[in-house]
Amino acid sequence: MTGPLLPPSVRAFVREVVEATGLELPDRHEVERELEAHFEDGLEAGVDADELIRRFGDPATAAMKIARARERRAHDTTTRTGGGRMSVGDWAREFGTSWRALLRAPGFTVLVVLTLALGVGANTAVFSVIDAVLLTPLPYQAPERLVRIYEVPMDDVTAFSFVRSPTVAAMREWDDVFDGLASIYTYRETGADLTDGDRPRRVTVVPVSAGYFDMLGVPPAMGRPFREEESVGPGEPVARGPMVPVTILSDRLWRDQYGADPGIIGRSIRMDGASYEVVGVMPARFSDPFGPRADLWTPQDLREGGFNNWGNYYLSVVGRLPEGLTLAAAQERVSAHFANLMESIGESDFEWAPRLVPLHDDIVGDTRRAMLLLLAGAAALVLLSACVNVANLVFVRGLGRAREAAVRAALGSGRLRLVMRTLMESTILVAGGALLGMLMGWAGVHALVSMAPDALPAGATPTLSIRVFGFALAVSMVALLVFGLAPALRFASVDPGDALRQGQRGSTGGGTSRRVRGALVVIQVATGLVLLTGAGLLTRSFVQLQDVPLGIEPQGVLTFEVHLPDARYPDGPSRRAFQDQLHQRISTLPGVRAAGSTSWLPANGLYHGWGVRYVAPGTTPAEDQSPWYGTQIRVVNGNYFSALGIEMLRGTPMDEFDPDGDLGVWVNERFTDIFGEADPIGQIISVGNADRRVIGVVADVPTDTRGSVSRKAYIPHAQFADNRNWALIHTVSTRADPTSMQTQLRDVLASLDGDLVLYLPRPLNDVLATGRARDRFATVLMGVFAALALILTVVGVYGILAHAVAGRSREIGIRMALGADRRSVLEMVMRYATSLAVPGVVLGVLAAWYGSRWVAAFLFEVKPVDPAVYAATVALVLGACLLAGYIPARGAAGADPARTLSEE
Amino acid sequence: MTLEREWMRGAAPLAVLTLLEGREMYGYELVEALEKDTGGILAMGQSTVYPLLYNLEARGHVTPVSRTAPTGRRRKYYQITPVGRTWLEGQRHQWGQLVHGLGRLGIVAGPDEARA
Repeated sequence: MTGPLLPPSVRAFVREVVEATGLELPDRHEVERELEAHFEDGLEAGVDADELIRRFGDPATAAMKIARARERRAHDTTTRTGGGRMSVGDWAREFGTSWRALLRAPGFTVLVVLTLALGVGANTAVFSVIDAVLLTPLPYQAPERLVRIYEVPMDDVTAFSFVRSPTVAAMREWDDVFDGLASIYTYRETGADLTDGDRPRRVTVVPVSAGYFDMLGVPPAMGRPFREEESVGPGEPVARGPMVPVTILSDRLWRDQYGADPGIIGRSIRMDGASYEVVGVMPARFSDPFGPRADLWTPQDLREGGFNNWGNYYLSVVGRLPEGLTLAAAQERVSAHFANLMESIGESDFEWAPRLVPLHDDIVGDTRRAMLLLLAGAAALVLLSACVNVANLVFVRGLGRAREAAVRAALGSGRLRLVMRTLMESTILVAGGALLGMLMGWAGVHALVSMAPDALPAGATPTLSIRVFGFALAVSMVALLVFGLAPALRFASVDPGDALRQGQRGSTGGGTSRRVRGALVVIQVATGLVLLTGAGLLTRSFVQLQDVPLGIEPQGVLTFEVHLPDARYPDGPSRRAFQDQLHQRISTLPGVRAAGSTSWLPANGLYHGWGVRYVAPGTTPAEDQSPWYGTQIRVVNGNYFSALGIEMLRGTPMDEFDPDGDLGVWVNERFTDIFGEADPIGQIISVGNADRRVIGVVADVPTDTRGSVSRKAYIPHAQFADNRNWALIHTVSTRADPTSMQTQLRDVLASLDGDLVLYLPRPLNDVLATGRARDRFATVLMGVFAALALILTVVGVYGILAHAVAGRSREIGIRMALGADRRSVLEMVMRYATSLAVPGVVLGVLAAWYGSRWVAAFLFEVKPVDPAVYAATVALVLGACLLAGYIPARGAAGADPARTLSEE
Repeated sequence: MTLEREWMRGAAPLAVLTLLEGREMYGYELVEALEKDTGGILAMGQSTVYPLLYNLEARGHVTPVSRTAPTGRRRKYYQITPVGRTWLEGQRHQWGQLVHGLGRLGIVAGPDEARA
């Protein structure tokens, strides 16, 4: 730049022209430089500045002509060079243009990005869970070959049961079916108190048979797995402990309790008063399919005899099929082997047989799978609703630009460029939506996991994976295609003449575009209604669940467990003495209303289902052929019935019962049908290898949160402590906040035995809530999705009506100028709102009715076609639609007609 | 005098291309030349030359080249392209026909008469 400096007036003039062109940056600079050169040349030629400006001509006209020519040049050079291919610079320019255009419409941009993010986020969250639960293979070697084995009664193949130890012993020999087979003892009492730390620590022990870790294909990180001679060998099992006191630690326990001591192998640890030698440490990544919270493993005693008999169904079993053997073929071989086995022991008329289930299916479970798929469907509907909403927003925006587009087209600005610009805008929006959606999804996954650990199978840890990211991206791209291309193609086919002739009217769109937007809103209303119906049904079902009469008073009740180590409490009398003493101390604490304990809490599922026989008067069990009645056995102590508020209907209350007298048992009302017309009190039943006299009848309490009632027999712990080391759950009914009692209870426990742990203290209400966790999970999630869909619907309906009203402001203005009153204008707009809402509602009801079959499995005492839910949902959706319409309608009716018309 | 808009629209590109046929020129130079070489008949608002050039560029008839002028400043020069030359030939022919036809109608004098 060595030429004469431009005087400020000229510089300002040039800038004015260039600004007025509205050209984008690089182009603008080019023109500016050229015009400056023009004036410099003029000055050099000796013309004075004012004269040059005069000769240049009217700046506005010049700007318009230059802008037009530059646009045409940009387009024509694009299409002429490289067959329409655009250079990187062109793309960058387009990106800049689109970016600025979006920034100029912040409301639109934020709404679209948020809407997309909601859809993508909901799907990412649910898909992450599905990915972890259903799609990710189990973290074991060749997991598809792992099977869970049950024993199933021949007359009811749906009644899966644990497996008898002799069956396991036999199956371990069937080399043609199993490459490896191991049993796991998963019953609840498999915990122990670790006493070699600063204070006793309750740990979860999972006894597994030799070969367990080899079978899963996960060897210990240090040390060795259990040996064959640690599970089988000569002799009989005597106690419930392992036959050899060795243990394998989890990585977590090894770090927490032993400071990741590298020399831990061979060291001995104190557990339940006995010494165990550490022989291995599992790797951190190992998650036990049966005990995800396992702290350590001990070898499970598979020797025949004692509790390992043909009558004790108590083991979980996993096997590995050889490569190439199908499940069906394996099942066939197992059945044949088992029939031979039964024949060899003279039981040709056997009632139970083993059945194989793929381990992954077994862990996930049918209900869980169905629930996840239901939620996936709901999330997909949210995405659909979001896409429709965005399509509508972009469509409206597109219509607003139709005139601009037409003018550009008339000026020769390429259609290709218009399509590109729209696509570029859509890409930016989708990228923003996807990114934000991923963040929401990530937060959503955490919320899901923390909300319902029980709703997810053990060991499933959902995280955002690459697969999930791909899914979110794919979903976003679908969204892009749905709403990006349609308006873009529309632009490209705009007839410039048409759009220009329509003038301002062009912005309301023609009949077709109004129908398109109408259809979008109808879809949206229908989607919202489907989700709301689903959520409504689940909510109603959940409310029903809450209302299930449990027959107990959980308010103010604290529960906790105390486990007595076999080593220090080896027999019935010592255990009875301890439990009675503990009960005595707790009962006399201030604030305690009543206290007691049980082997299993109500509404917490099945546990200890035993066969019970009625010993009719004048017969003995030996000669009696009366049937076995499946009965839930509960071992109770203290004043359990009072503590839980279980009503004593007849007979002797717990606190008046003398345990040193005859063997007694309480039964529930449901049980008494086995006595027929006879008075239950005083009848003899055979339970747990002894005849017991019925001393009382209590009210039924449900076995699960759905209110199922089964036969129950309550055996006094004082008379049954010999049977086994019962892990009693204490129930303390307090007058105050139950959790405030914990310290006092710990002190009481410590005063009796300083090495015992007050395990799992929690209010009974929390325990009951856990039982409903899965129902709550589905309900809450569905409710969230429905709320999202409702918001999207309202936004959508509002958007289209507001736009329609704005487009018809001229018509409304004329009507009002001609004497139409506010009321009739309001009516006109509301009629339009109704004309969109009603078809949407009808479509939605039909879709909900069709889809209700998928929800049916999760409903409790609610019909999938529940009229109340449908009515409420329809009312809610219609109300929301009308409200969404009312706001713009009121605005239109309140407008000043003169102003509206003069603005036109 | 100057021409009416419609006439200008037809004539100006032809004039510009004809000027560029001789040598490459920059904007101000072109404006000056148009004014002087046509006796003022094709004088236009000086701004008009730029849209004109951009349109010619869009059609591929001219191409801009950035050069350092003898004065040391960088300037944008325009060159006629082969496409531009071909188009110019066609246009010349059409103008000739037009003038011929108009001459026969007696609207304008033929070039020979005018010179006389």
